[in-house]
Amino acid sequence: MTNPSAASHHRSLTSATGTSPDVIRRAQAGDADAFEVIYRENSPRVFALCLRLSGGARDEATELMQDVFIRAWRGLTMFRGESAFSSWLHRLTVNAMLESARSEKRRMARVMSIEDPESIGAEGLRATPDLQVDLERAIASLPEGARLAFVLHEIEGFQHGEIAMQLGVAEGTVRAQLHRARKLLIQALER
Amino acid sequence: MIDPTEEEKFAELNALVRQLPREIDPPADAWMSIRSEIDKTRPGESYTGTRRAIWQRPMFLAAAAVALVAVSSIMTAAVLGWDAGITRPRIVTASQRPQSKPQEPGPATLAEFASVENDYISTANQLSAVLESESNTLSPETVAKLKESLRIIDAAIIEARRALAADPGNRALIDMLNTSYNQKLDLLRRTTEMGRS
Repeated sequence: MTNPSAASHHRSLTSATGTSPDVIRRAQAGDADAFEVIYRENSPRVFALCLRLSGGARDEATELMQDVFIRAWRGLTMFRGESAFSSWLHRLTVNAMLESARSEKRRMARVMSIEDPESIGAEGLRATPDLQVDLERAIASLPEGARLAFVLHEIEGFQHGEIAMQLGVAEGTVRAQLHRARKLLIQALER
Repeated sequence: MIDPTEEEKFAELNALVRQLPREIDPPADAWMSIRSEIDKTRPGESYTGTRRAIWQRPMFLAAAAVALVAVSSIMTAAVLGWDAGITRPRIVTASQRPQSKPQEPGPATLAEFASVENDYISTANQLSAVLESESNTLSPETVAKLKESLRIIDAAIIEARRALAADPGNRALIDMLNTSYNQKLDLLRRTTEMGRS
């Protein structure tokens, strides 16, 4: 099953002009004010991704997002403009998340988020309707593999093969995790 | 095979997912921390992340350096015991060696170590040059083992250096770096002597 809306959203991200090349060039030359422009334009998108990838823990998502932007600043000279800046940033986010997911601290945070669903992302999602909050909480409670596959495919619009490459797993594993995620989410929403 | 009811539910789920916001505002003060961090460096400079991966943490690097030193010790033994046809010097480890005088304590700080590091490098370079000029006195197997052993010791030095960059006050890492350099010099000296015997 594909999600045409998410896919088109992803396509629009990768083809959009997004952050202007001039701002990126100034930031690459060390202009921190230009980088702030980049941050203002891209942080809501990156933060949403961080929040979902990190299982809805707002503090952790904030820390992850900050890490992503600091990495982006240091690695700006490696951005050649061959893809959209937002895609490059997106890849940095997923990589940073995967790195942090391997740490013990991250595992502990995940256990807590599953055991205490009431704490999941409530602050960040306060303005959304109830059903969306339920869905966000259900996504946050998913096992990590299923959650990453679901968020990257259904929300971010990545193809199975792209996700498999990013996560370093087989494409079949991504499909299986997605199916598992969908079933778990439906169960959670039917409760 | 997905049954129709399940497919319907998946479609409903998709419809709901499409309504989720793609953007969520981060905390208002999040930029300040980023700004203070990026003011310290310029694009292109190396960064290990505020949340270091486990392989970037000093303790992991220290453990890696210990492992490398251990491996290099085994390699050193292999090098010095290799040329049985020429001579087989008894391998004496540092702990087995008779202590004619108490061992002098190594540098306690990175600053102290920096002052002796140049001497280490200079001596190692001199010994390497001697060894290079006399390499025809050693068997090719010994030379290959020596090179591999030196590569491992150098890797241990690099790892200990990296770990120290992240944790400059770590005495254990300074000791490890000191040990690695000593081991390198010891290997070079003894291999040079072996070639002359």
